[in-house]
Amino acid sequence: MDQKTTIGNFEAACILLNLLCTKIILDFPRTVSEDAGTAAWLMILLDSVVVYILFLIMTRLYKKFEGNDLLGVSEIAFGETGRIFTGIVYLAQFIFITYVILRQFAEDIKVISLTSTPVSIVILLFAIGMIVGAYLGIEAISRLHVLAIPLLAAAFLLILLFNIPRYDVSKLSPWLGLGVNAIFEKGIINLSYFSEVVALFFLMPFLKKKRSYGEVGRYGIFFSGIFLVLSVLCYLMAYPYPTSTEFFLPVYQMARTIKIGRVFSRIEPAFILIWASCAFLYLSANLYFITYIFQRTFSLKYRKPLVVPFIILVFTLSLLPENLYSTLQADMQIYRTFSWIVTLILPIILLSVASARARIRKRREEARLSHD
Amino acid sequence: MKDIASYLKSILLFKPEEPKTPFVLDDFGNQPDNSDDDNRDPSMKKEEKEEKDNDKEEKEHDSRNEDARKDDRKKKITKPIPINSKEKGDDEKENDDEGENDGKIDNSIDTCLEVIKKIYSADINGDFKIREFKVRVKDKVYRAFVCFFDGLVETSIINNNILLPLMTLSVMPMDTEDQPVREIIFDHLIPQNQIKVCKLYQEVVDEINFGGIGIFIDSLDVAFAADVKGWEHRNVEQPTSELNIRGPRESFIEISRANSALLRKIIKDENLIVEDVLVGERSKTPCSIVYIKNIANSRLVDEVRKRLKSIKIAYLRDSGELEQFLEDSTFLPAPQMLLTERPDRVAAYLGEGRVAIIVHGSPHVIVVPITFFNLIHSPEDYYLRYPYSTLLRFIRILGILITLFLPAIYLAITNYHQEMLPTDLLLAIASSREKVPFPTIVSIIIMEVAFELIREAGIRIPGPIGPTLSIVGGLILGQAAVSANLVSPFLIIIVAVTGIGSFAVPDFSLGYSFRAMRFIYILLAGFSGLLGISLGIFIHFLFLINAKSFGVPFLAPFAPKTTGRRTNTIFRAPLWKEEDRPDFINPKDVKQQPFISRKWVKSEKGVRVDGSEDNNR
Repeated sequence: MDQKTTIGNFEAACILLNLLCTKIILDFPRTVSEDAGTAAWLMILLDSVVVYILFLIMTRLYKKFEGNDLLGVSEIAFGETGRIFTGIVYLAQFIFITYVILRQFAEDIKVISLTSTPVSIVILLFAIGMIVGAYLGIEAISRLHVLAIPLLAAAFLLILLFNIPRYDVSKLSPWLGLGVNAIFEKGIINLSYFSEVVALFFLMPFLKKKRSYGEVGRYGIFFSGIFLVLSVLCYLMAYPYPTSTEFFLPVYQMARTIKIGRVFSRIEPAFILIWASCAFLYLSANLYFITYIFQRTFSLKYRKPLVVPFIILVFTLSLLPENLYSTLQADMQIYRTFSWIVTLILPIILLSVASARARIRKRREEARLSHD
Repeated sequence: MKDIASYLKSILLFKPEEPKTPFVLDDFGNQPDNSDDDNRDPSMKKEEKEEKDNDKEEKEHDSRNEDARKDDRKKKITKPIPINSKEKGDDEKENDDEGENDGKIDNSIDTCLEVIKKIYSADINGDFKIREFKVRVKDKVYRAFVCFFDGLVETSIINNNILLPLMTLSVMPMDTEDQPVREIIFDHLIPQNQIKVCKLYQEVVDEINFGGIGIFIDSLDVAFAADVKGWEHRNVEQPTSELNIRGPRESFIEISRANSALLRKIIKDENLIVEDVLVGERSKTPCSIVYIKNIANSRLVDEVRKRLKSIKIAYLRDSGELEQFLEDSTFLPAPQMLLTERPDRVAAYLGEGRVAIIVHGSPHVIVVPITFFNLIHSPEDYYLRYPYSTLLRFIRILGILITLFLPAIYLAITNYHQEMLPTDLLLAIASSREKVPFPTIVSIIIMEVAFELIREAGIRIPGPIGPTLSIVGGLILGQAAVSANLVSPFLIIIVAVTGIGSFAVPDFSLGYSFRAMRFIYILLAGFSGLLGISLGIFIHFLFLINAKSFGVPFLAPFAPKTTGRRTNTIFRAPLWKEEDRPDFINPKDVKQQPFISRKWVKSEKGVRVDGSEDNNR
């Protein structure tokens, strides 16, 4: 009764949603409010629309390559060298974001509750979960997403709901925040917040209904857009700019202020479960993608033996930054500045070249056949 | 888990694992040849090297010696004795005795008698009985004998239905002039409902071993084997581990045919198939695959049949043993099949398209495939009204959560997240722990281990003392521990509630799993608070999600999400709403009942009984 690895489209959409939205519980609302002030929510809304349109272009171009992942597409476009080059680029991208987010989660958990535990031990705990997740594969990870994402989404919405007494729409004014220029300039860079969309193109070979791949991405981007905008909007309504730039974990700060009677006055440690669950899901999915990309790039037979070497690499890299600040610097100055080019523009280039070459090849064949 | 271990081993040792030659009990062909050069000891190799330097004659001489040594060594090597090889010597003798006709029954009664006596060691086997007598057929007297195991058979059946007709009724006039003797005996002289004509000794032996009687008659090259089982057994009684207030109170017993009859008594359907398979090279335990032909998925039935037939073991004593040979994953912290002693429960599952396996000698019947949610259901859920059973399921789930997480969460909160507690409660806990010298994790482990000891001892010690021990353990020991400031009273409450929660788990095997997992969660919480618990939940769920029971995902229909209804999983829907069988089992017929099963209502779910839309909603 052995079967090929397949994941349902809903499961894939859940993975995408989690990959895109995990940043909400980290520093996302704060960093965007730093960039665009009170208009941060507007900036993210525009970004969501742009990413949605970019994804529509991608799906249009991808139509001819159903069942292929991005590495397969790059091989069609630029041959084996192209595949290896693209693989290395995406490998670097996934490794970078994995170690940065791993360190961020570990630092955050350390600050929230495990104050006297060394950060390496906290990272090690996350690493154990990542190993098991990546070892069991995308099928298990995606199914766990299906179970966890609705609960996590409900918990997040509860945090937002319980903060209603603190919301004040007037805190959103001035409506254009730091100005239209800031919204557009920073908006382009902040497209990087949707860089995880590219993961969908590595899930394509596993989809059960390969034809409706577009739906997965559209739903994923649509709902993640809603969650991202909602998180920023609520945060800014609760904490006006520039206070909003001061909390290192905005959603945690919102959870801290929840008061429901005398008994439930300090329930924020319960949200560690949400934090950690999101982290485990996000990180194990990313580690899976790292091993998968490496395997595909170099046409290796097995994937599982790569799990431990790569976790050692990610673990070591995550210990390199001196502290949380330098981790955030790496995230902001390197990843967020450039990753949108790699994850949103490069796929379009690859897909365009691949479809052009496929068309040329088809014409040549037709010409040859007619000549014969 | 095994894969992970072998993988880690290969990583740590930095060398690929050598493929292992599969070892088959009764097949020496696959075993590594011990005479290979690599397997020899170094001294032998050295000897060989020296030998190469000698001249040709010496070489030949030495090679002869070497061959002789190899033979000696081969003799010395103790190979595992295959199941069938024990009788090898005996078999050879038997083959000699049985003649040159490959175990076929001889037409000489003396030869047959001698063979049977040898097979059963009749001279030393006290319970093996042989009764010789004479049969008169067509005015000719034939010598005959019957053989059976005393205690396995019903002697009155042998007397009245075998011996009496053969010895006395054979003289009665019968219109059988043109019939051969064999047919006359079969048709007229053995009035027994289950009789088999055997051409081989082994066929008769198999029947005798399982409560049959062998009938040998001179001049016939066949023997008759009649079913005269009559061993002592338990009567059908109330279930002991799956008690209920409402619903039938019959349970399976150790007799497989009685168990299949109990099922047939509930499902009066000619499509109910009871397929027999023998498991165990020596015990030859009869097992039955039970399914409803036009509901159960054929691939599922084939898979069960394939797995059962592929099991090569010496003895099979209980369905618990068979479960371990059939399950998909050995190391998963949850059972992957359901063992129940309730025929009504098995019948309900058969009706859903699942397959049951009855093992002779076991009062528990195996049901496959199952999901996690089947394990938290009780048969009584269906006999109670919908609101009550929904409430019961909710309480049961609460019990499971308490069993798994309460001690761990208590530990995490008191050690790492004290701010979660309201100040008064925090002060109460702090004051109760003030005089306790141990850290909370030590106190919790002491109390949990003590609780498990009491539970285990309560099961093992004789009945009347059991309750006494529980009282002594539970009340006096707990009270004394608090008085001696070994643990805090608050902790006693936590451990007691956890214990009560564990008793609410309806499946015995799942209860064990949760009891074991509880300790892991305690350790994780002690190590890193709620983060540790999250890690535990993440890995626990990953393993559960990855598990399969006969190809069916263990957490279906939620992970993976299937298209069918999910009403009867966590909570129960009203029975009239459960139209479909679980779709993840892929039954041949998904519909269990029509869209409107209560035909007396005018309309249901917005549809009238005649199929038209109900506009008066």
